[in-house]
Amino acid sequence: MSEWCGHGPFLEEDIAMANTALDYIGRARMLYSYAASIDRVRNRTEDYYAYYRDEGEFENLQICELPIGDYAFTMARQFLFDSYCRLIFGFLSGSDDKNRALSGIASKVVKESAFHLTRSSRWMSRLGKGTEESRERIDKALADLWGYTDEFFDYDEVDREMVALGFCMEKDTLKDAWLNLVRKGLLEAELEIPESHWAAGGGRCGVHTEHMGRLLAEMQVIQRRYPDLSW
Amino acid sequence: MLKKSISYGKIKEVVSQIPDPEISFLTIIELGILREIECGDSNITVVIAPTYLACPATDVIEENIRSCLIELGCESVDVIRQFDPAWTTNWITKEGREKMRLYGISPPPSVLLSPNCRTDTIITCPRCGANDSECLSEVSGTLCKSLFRCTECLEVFEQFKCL
Repeated sequence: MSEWCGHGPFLEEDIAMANTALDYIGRARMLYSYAASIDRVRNRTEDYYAYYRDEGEFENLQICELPIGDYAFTMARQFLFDSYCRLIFGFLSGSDDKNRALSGIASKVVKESAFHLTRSSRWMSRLGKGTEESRERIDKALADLWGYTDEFFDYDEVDREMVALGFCMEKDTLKDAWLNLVRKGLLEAELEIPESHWAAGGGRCGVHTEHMGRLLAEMQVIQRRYPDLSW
Repeated sequence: MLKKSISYGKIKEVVSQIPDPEISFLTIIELGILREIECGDSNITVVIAPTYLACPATDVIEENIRSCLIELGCESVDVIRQFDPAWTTNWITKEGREKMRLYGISPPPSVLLSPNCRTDTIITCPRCGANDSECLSEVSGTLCKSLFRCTECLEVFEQFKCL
Protein backbone atom coordinates (compact mmCIF):
# COMPACT_ATOMS: atom_id res chain seq x y z
CA MET A 1 0.00 0.00 0.00
CA SER A 2 2.85 2.37 0.77
CA GLU A 3 3.92 1.95 -2.85
CA TRP A 4 0.97 4.14 -3.83
CA CYS A 5 2.48 7.06 -1.95
CA GLY A 6 3.06 9.73 -4.59
CA HIS A 7 1.21 7.68 -7.23
CA GLY A 8 -2.39 7.76 -5.98
CA PRO A 9 -5.16 8.72 -8.42
CA PHE A 10 -5.61 12.11 -6.75
CA LEU A 11 -4.03 13.99 -3.88
CA GLU A 12 -6.59 13.26 -1.15
CA GLU A 13 -6.60 9.59 -1.99
CA ASP A 14 -2.84 9.49 -2.08
CA ILE A 15 -2.75 10.80 1.50
CA ALA A 16 -5.53 8.49 2.62
CA MET A 17 -3.75 5.44 1.24
CA ALA A 18 -0.41 6.32 2.82
CA ASN A 19 -2.13 6.92 6.16
CA THR A 20 -3.97 3.62 5.96
CA ALA A 21 -0.67 1.89 5.24
CA LEU A 22 0.67 3.57 8.37
CA ASP A 23 -2.14 1.98 10.35
CA TYR A 24 -0.97 -1.43 9.20
CA ILE A 25 2.61 -0.67 10.21
CA GLY A 26 1.40 0.37 13.66
CA ARG A 27 -0.57 -2.83 13.93
CA ALA A 28 2.39 -4.97 12.89
CA ARG A 29 4.63 -3.23 15.41
CA MET A 30 2.20 -3.91 18.25
CA LEU A 31 1.77 -7.55 17.31
CA TYR A 32 5.49 -8.12 16.81
CA SER A 33 6.28 -6.45 20.14
CA TYR A 34 3.75 -8.71 21.77
CA ALA A 35 5.32 -11.74 20.06
CA ALA A 36 8.74 -10.66 21.32
CA SER A 37 7.42 -10.44 24.87
CA ILE A 38 6.33 -14.09 24.85
CA ASP A 39 9.07 -15.52 22.60
CA ARG A 40 11.05 -18.37 24.17
CA VAL A 41 14.18 -16.73 22.82
CA ARG A 42 14.80 -13.80 25.09
CA ASN A 43 15.69 -10.25 24.14
CA ARG A 44 14.11 -10.35 20.74
CA THR A 45 12.46 -7.14 19.61
CA GLU A 46 9.81 -6.32 17.03
CA ASP A 47 12.62 -5.72 14.52
CA TYR A 48 13.71 -9.34 14.63
CA TYR A 49 10.42 -10.53 13.16
CA ALA A 50 10.39 -7.90 10.43
CA TYR A 51 14.02 -7.85 9.38
CA TYR A 52 15.75 -11.08 10.32
CA ARG A 53 13.34 -13.81 9.36
CA ASP A 54 13.70 -15.52 6.00
CA GLU A 55 10.88 -16.12 3.58
CA GLY A 56 10.01 -19.60 4.87
CA GLU A 57 9.62 -18.24 8.40
CA PHE A 58 6.89 -15.79 7.39
CA GLU A 59 3.47 -17.32 7.86
CA ASN A 60 1.44 -14.55 6.29
CA LEU A 61 -1.47 -14.99 3.91
CA GLN A 62 -0.43 -14.92 0.29
CA ILE A 63 -3.05 -12.33 -0.58
CA CYS A 64 -1.00 -9.81 1.42
CA GLU A 65 2.19 -10.27 -0.57
CA LEU A 66 0.77 -9.78 -4.07
CA PRO A 67 1.92 -6.72 -6.03
CA ILE A 68 -0.35 -3.70 -5.74
CA GLY A 69 -1.71 -3.99 -9.32
CA ASP A 70 -4.03 -1.19 -10.42
CA TYR A 71 -6.17 0.79 -8.00
CA ALA A 72 -9.10 -1.59 -8.42
CA PHE A 73 -6.88 -4.51 -7.45
CA THR A 74 -5.50 -2.73 -4.38
CA MET A 75 -8.98 -1.68 -3.24
CA ALA A 76 -10.59 -5.06 -3.87
CA ARG A 77 -7.84 -6.69 -1.83
CA GLN A 78 -8.35 -4.16 0.96
CA PHE A 79 -12.07 -4.76 0.91
CA LEU A 80 -11.71 -8.55 1.18
CA PHE A 81 -8.98 -8.31 3.80
CA ASP A 82 -10.64 -5.52 5.85
CA SER A 83 -13.79 -7.64 6.11
CA TYR A 84 -11.68 -10.50 7.44
CA CYS A 85 -9.77 -8.30 9.92
CA ARG A 86 -12.96 -6.70 11.18
CA LEU A 87 -14.24 -10.16 12.13
CA ILE A 88 -11.18 -11.84 13.61
CA PHE A 89 -10.01 -8.82 15.61
CA GLY A 90 -13.58 -8.11 16.67
CA PHE A 91 -13.84 -11.57 18.14
CA LEU A 92 -10.38 -11.42 19.67
CA SER A 93 -11.07 -8.06 21.32
CA GLY A 94 -13.90 -9.66 23.28
CA SER A 95 -11.81 -12.57 24.50
CA ASP A 96 -9.95 -12.46 27.75
CA ASP A 97 -6.34 -13.54 27.43
CA LYS A 98 -3.72 -13.09 30.12
CA ASN A 99 -3.63 -9.42 31.17
CA ARG A 100 -5.66 -8.73 28.05
CA ALA A 101 -2.36 -8.30 26.22
CA LEU A 102 -3.60 -9.56 22.87
CA SER A 103 -7.27 -8.66 23.23
CA GLY A 104 -6.22 -5.14 24.22
CA ILE A 105 -4.35 -4.69 20.95
CA ALA A 106 -7.29 -6.24 19.11
CA SER A 107 -9.68 -3.72 20.64
CA LYS A 108 -7.65 -0.94 18.98
CA VAL A 109 -7.26 -2.80 15.70
CA VAL A 110 -10.95 -3.56 15.33
CA LYS A 111 -11.85 0.13 15.45
CA GLU A 112 -9.31 0.94 12.78
CA SER A 113 -10.44 -2.00 10.65
CA ALA A 114 -13.99 -0.67 10.73
CA PHE A 115 -12.71 2.59 9.21
CA HIS A 116 -10.69 0.77 6.62
CA LEU A 117 -13.71 -1.30 5.65
CA THR A 118 -15.89 1.79 5.26
CA ARG A 119 -13.29 3.29 2.99
CA SER A 120 -12.67 0.21 0.86
CA SER A 121 -16.43 -0.47 0.59
CA ARG A 122 -16.95 3.04 -0.75
CA TRP A 123 -14.30 2.40 -3.34
CA MET A 124 -15.94 -0.87 -4.34
CA SER A 125 -19.17 1.07 -4.99
CA ARG A 126 -17.35 3.86 -6.74
CA LEU A 127 -15.64 1.45 -9.12
CA GLY A 128 -18.58 -0.94 -9.45
CA LYS A 129 -21.01 1.83 -10.35
CA GLY A 130 -18.50 3.99 -12.16
CA THR A 131 -17.60 3.71 -15.81
CA GLU A 132 -17.46 0.70 -18.06
CA GLU A 133 -13.72 0.56 -17.60
CA SER A 134 -13.82 0.83 -13.80
CA ARG A 135 -16.43 -1.91 -13.70
CA GLU A 136 -14.32 -4.12 -15.91
CA ARG A 137 -11.26 -3.57 -13.74
CA ILE A 138 -12.99 -4.22 -10.42
CA ASP A 139 -14.59 -7.38 -11.81
CA LYS A 140 -11.21 -8.60 -12.96
CA ALA A 141 -9.59 -7.72 -9.62
CA LEU A 142 -12.21 -9.68 -7.70
CA ALA A 143 -11.84 -12.66 -10.02
CA ASP A 144 -8.04 -12.60 -9.69
CA LEU A 145 -8.18 -12.29 -5.90
CA TRP A 146 -11.00 -14.62 -4.98
CA GLY A 147 -8.90 -17.79 -4.96
CA TYR A 148 -6.61 -16.27 -2.37
CA THR A 149 -9.42 -15.68 0.13
CA ASP A 150 -9.58 -19.40 0.84
CA GLU A 151 -6.49 -18.96 2.96
CA PHE A 152 -8.45 -16.85 5.48
CA PHE A 153 -10.02 -20.11 6.60
CA ASP A 154 -6.89 -22.21 6.48
CA TYR A 155 -6.63 -23.08 10.19
CA ASP A 156 -3.46 -24.60 11.61
CA GLU A 157 -2.84 -26.19 14.97
CA VAL A 158 -2.39 -22.85 16.74
CA ASP A 159 -5.67 -21.58 15.31
CA ARG A 160 -7.46 -24.69 16.48
CA GLU A 161 -6.04 -24.22 19.95
CA MET A 162 -7.17 -20.59 19.87
CA VAL A 163 -10.68 -21.77 18.97
CA ALA A 164 -10.62 -24.24 21.87
CA LEU A 165 -9.59 -21.45 24.24
CA GLY A 166 -12.33 -19.18 22.95
CA PHE A 167 -10.01 -16.62 21.32
CA CYS A 168 -10.95 -17.38 17.77
CA MET A 169 -14.10 -18.19 15.83
CA GLU A 170 -14.74 -21.66 14.45
CA LYS A 171 -13.64 -21.90 10.84
CA ASP A 172 -17.17 -22.28 9.45
CA THR A 173 -18.57 -19.49 11.60
CA LEU A 174 -15.84 -17.16 10.37
CA LYS A 175 -16.41 -18.13 6.76
CA ASP A 176 -20.17 -17.57 6.97
CA ALA A 177 -19.74 -14.22 8.71
CA TRP A 178 -17.12 -13.14 6.19
CA LEU A 179 -19.23 -14.16 3.20
CA ASN A 180 -22.17 -12.22 4.64
CA LEU A 181 -20.10 -9.11 5.13
CA VAL A 182 -18.56 -9.34 1.66
CA ARG A 183 -21.91 -10.08 0.00
CA LYS A 184 -23.41 -7.01 1.64
CA GLY A 185 -20.60 -4.79 0.36
CA LEU A 186 -20.73 -6.27 -3.13
CA LEU A 187 -24.50 -5.92 -3.31
CA GLU A 188 -24.16 -2.24 -2.45
CA ALA A 189 -21.52 -1.92 -5.17
CA GLU A 190 -23.69 -3.84 -7.65
CA LEU A 191 -20.93 -6.42 -7.98
CA GLU A 192 -21.06 -10.18 -7.80
CA ILE A 193 -18.99 -12.86 -6.15
CA PRO A 194 -16.84 -14.26 -8.95
CA GLU A 195 -16.72 -17.88 -9.91
CA SER A 196 -13.42 -19.30 -8.88
CA HIS A 197 -12.05 -22.74 -9.49
CA TRP A 198 -8.80 -22.65 -7.61
CA ALA A 199 -7.65 -21.85 -4.10
CA ALA A 200 -4.34 -20.59 -2.77
CA GLY A 201 -2.77 -22.37 0.14
CA GLY A 202 0.46 -22.72 2.03
CA GLY A 203 1.11 -19.17 3.20
CA ARG A 204 0.45 -20.18 6.77
CA CYS A 205 3.20 -22.85 6.52
CA GLY A 206 5.75 -20.54 4.95
CA VAL A 207 5.04 -21.30 1.29
CA HIS A 208 4.87 -18.10 -0.70
CA THR A 209 4.34 -16.65 -4.15
CA GLU A 210 7.29 -15.45 -6.19
CA HIS A 211 6.56 -11.89 -5.09
CA MET A 212 7.46 -12.47 -1.46
CA GLY A 213 11.22 -12.68 -1.90
CA ARG A 214 11.40 -9.37 -3.68
CA LEU A 215 9.29 -7.65 -1.02
CA LEU A 216 11.47 -8.98 1.77
CA ALA A 217 14.68 -8.08 -0.04
CA GLU A 218 13.58 -4.47 -0.27
CA MET A 219 12.39 -4.33 3.32
CA GLN A 220 15.33 -6.14 4.91
CA VAL A 221 18.39 -5.12 2.90
CA ILE A 222 19.39 -2.05 4.93
CA GLN A 223 18.99 -3.70 8.34
CA ARG A 224 20.95 -6.74 7.20
CA ARG A 225 23.69 -4.68 5.62
CA TYR A 226 23.95 -2.41 8.68
CA PRO A 227 22.60 -4.42 11.64
CA ASP A 228 20.82 -2.38 14.33
CA LEU A 229 21.04 0.73 12.24
CA SER A 230 18.67 3.47 13.33
CA TRP A 231 17.94 7.05 12.36
CA MET B 1 14.37 10.14 44.30
CA LEU B 2 11.66 12.72 43.97
CA LYS B 3 12.63 16.07 45.25
CA LYS B 4 10.30 16.95 48.10
CA SER B 5 9.68 20.34 46.57
CA ILE B 6 7.83 18.95 43.54
CA SER B 7 4.18 18.55 44.37
CA TYR B 8 1.73 16.30 42.57
CA GLY B 9 -0.17 19.42 41.58
CA LYS B 10 2.86 20.88 39.89
CA ILE B 11 3.61 17.64 38.04
CA LYS B 12 0.03 17.41 36.87
CA GLU B 13 0.04 21.02 35.76
CA VAL B 14 3.19 20.56 33.67
CA VAL B 15 2.08 17.30 32.06
CA SER B 16 -1.41 18.61 31.36
CA GLN B 17 -0.06 21.51 29.33
CA ILE B 18 1.87 19.35 26.88
CA PRO B 19 0.39 19.91 23.42
CA ASP B 20 -0.32 17.28 20.82
CA PRO B 21 2.49 17.67 18.26
CA GLU B 22 0.17 17.37 15.26
CA ILE B 23 -2.77 19.38 16.58
CA SER B 24 -0.73 21.82 18.59
CA PHE B 25 -3.61 23.95 19.87
CA LEU B 26 -4.88 20.96 21.88
CA THR B 27 -3.27 19.60 25.02
CA ILE B 28 -3.00 15.90 25.71
CA ILE B 29 -5.57 16.30 28.46
CA GLU B 30 -8.06 17.95 26.11
CA LEU B 31 -7.58 15.11 23.65
CA GLY B 32 -8.12 12.53 26.38
CA ILE B 33 -4.71 10.97 25.76
CA LEU B 34 -3.47 11.56 29.31
CA ARG B 35 -5.05 8.91 31.53
CA GLU B 36 -3.20 8.81 34.82
CA ILE B 37 -0.24 10.19 36.74
CA GLU B 38 1.13 8.15 39.60
CA CYS B 39 3.82 9.48 41.89
CA GLY B 40 5.77 6.75 43.62
CA ASP B 41 8.59 7.20 46.10
CA SER B 42 11.27 7.10 43.49
CA ASN B 43 9.57 7.56 40.18
CA ILE B 44 6.61 8.95 38.31
CA THR B 45 4.44 6.83 36.05
CA VAL B 46 2.40 8.53 33.38
CA VAL B 47 -0.23 6.49 31.53
CA ILE B 48 -1.24 7.61 28.06
CA ALA B 49 -3.76 6.14 25.63
CA PRO B 50 -2.58 6.44 22.01
CA THR B 51 -5.27 7.61 19.59
CA TYR B 52 -4.22 5.31 16.74
CA LEU B 53 -1.72 2.45 16.92
CA ALA B 54 0.43 4.03 14.26
CA CYS B 55 0.03 7.65 15.31
CA PRO B 56 3.54 9.14 14.95
CA ALA B 57 2.65 11.74 17.58
CA THR B 58 2.67 9.12 20.34
CA ASP B 59 6.47 8.80 20.37
CA VAL B 60 6.84 12.57 20.48
CA ILE B 61 4.31 12.91 23.29
CA GLU B 62 6.13 10.25 25.29
CA GLU B 63 9.41 12.02 24.84
CA ASN B 64 7.91 15.40 25.73
CA ILE B 65 6.38 14.07 28.95
CA ARG B 66 9.72 12.60 29.92
CA SER B 67 11.75 15.70 29.16
CA CYS B 68 9.26 18.08 30.81
CA LEU B 69 9.30 16.11 34.05
CA ILE B 70 13.04 15.70 34.05
CA GLU B 71 13.40 19.42 33.53
CA LEU B 72 11.11 19.87 36.53
CA GLY B 73 13.55 17.84 38.60
CA CYS B 74 12.07 14.35 38.49
CA GLU B 75 14.74 11.71 38.04
CA SER B 76 12.86 8.64 36.95
CA VAL B 77 9.89 8.85 34.62
CA ASP B 78 7.98 5.91 33.12
CA VAL B 79 5.50 6.47 30.35
CA ILE B 80 3.13 3.57 29.81
CA ARG B 81 0.87 3.13 26.78
CA GLN B 82 -2.59 1.88 27.58
CA PHE B 83 -4.52 0.17 24.79
CA ASP B 84 -7.30 -1.29 26.81
CA PRO B 85 -9.75 0.30 27.22
CA ALA B 86 -9.03 1.75 23.80
CA TRP B 87 -8.93 5.50 23.37
CA THR B 88 -12.17 6.92 22.11
CA THR B 89 -13.13 10.36 20.82
CA ASN B 90 -15.57 10.45 23.74
CA TRP B 91 -12.59 11.26 25.93
CA ILE B 92 -12.00 14.54 24.12
CA THR B 93 -13.10 17.25 26.52
CA LYS B 94 -15.72 19.91 25.88
CA GLU B 95 -12.99 22.56 25.76
CA GLY B 96 -11.08 20.43 23.26
CA ARG B 97 -14.11 20.21 20.98
CA GLU B 98 -14.72 23.95 21.19
CA LYS B 99 -11.09 24.68 20.33
CA MET B 100 -11.28 22.35 17.33
CA ARG B 101 -14.27 24.27 15.99
CA LEU B 102 -12.46 27.57 16.47
CA TYR B 103 -9.47 26.27 14.56
CA GLY B 104 -11.58 25.00 11.68
CA ILE B 105 -11.78 21.31 12.50
CA SER B 106 -15.23 19.79 12.84
CA PRO B 107 -15.17 17.95 16.21
CA PRO B 108 -16.40 14.37 16.53
CA PRO B 109 -19.92 13.83 17.87
CA SER B 110 -19.85 13.44 21.62
CA VAL B 111 -22.02 10.36 21.76
CA LEU B 112 -20.52 6.96 21.23
CA LEU B 113 -21.52 5.55 17.87
CA SER B 114 -20.90 2.06 16.69
CA PRO B 115 -18.46 2.10 13.75
CA ASN B 116 -21.25 1.15 11.35
CA CYS B 117 -23.48 4.12 11.91
CA ARG B 118 -20.63 6.56 11.52
CA THR B 119 -21.58 7.41 7.97
CA ASP B 120 -25.00 8.62 9.10
CA THR B 121 -23.49 11.11 11.49
CA ILE B 122 -24.29 14.73 10.78
CA ILE B 123 -21.10 16.65 10.16
CA THR B 124 -21.29 20.34 10.92
CA CYS B 125 -19.18 22.80 8.95
CA PRO B 126 -16.89 24.56 11.46
CA ARG B 127 -17.03 27.76 9.40
CA CYS B 128 -20.67 28.38 8.54
CA GLY B 129 -22.40 25.82 10.78
CA ALA B 130 -24.29 24.13 7.94
CA ASN B 131 -25.04 20.43 8.33
CA ASP B 132 -24.69 19.56 4.69
CA SER B 133 -21.35 18.30 3.49
CA GLU B 134 -19.72 15.71 1.30
CA CYS B 135 -16.83 13.46 2.22
CA LEU B 136 -13.81 14.05 -0.02
CA SER B 137 -11.54 11.54 1.65
CA GLU B 138 -11.85 9.11 4.54
CA VAL B 139 -8.38 9.98 5.75
CA SER B 140 -7.01 13.49 5.68
CA GLY B 141 -3.60 14.88 6.64
CA THR B 142 -3.49 12.67 9.74
CA LEU B 143 -5.04 9.31 10.55
CA CYS B 144 -7.51 10.84 12.96
CA LYS B 145 -9.20 13.21 10.50
CA SER B 146 -11.33 12.98 7.35
CA LEU B 147 -11.68 15.61 4.66
CA PHE B 148 -15.07 17.15 3.91
CA ARG B 149 -16.47 19.94 1.78
CA CYS B 150 -19.37 22.02 3.00
CA THR B 151 -22.07 22.07 0.32
CA GLU B 152 -23.33 25.39 1.71
CA CYS B 153 -20.23 27.61 1.88
CA LEU B 154 -18.10 25.29 -0.30
CA GLU B 155 -15.18 25.46 2.12
CA VAL B 156 -13.09 22.33 2.52
CA PHE B 157 -12.58 21.34 6.16
CA GLU B 158 -11.18 18.53 8.25
CA GLN B 159 -13.37 16.46 10.52
CA PHE B 160 -12.02 14.63 13.55
CA LYS B 161 -13.20 11.06 13.04
CA CYS B 162 -15.45 9.45 15.62
CA LEU B 163 -13.60 6.50 17.07
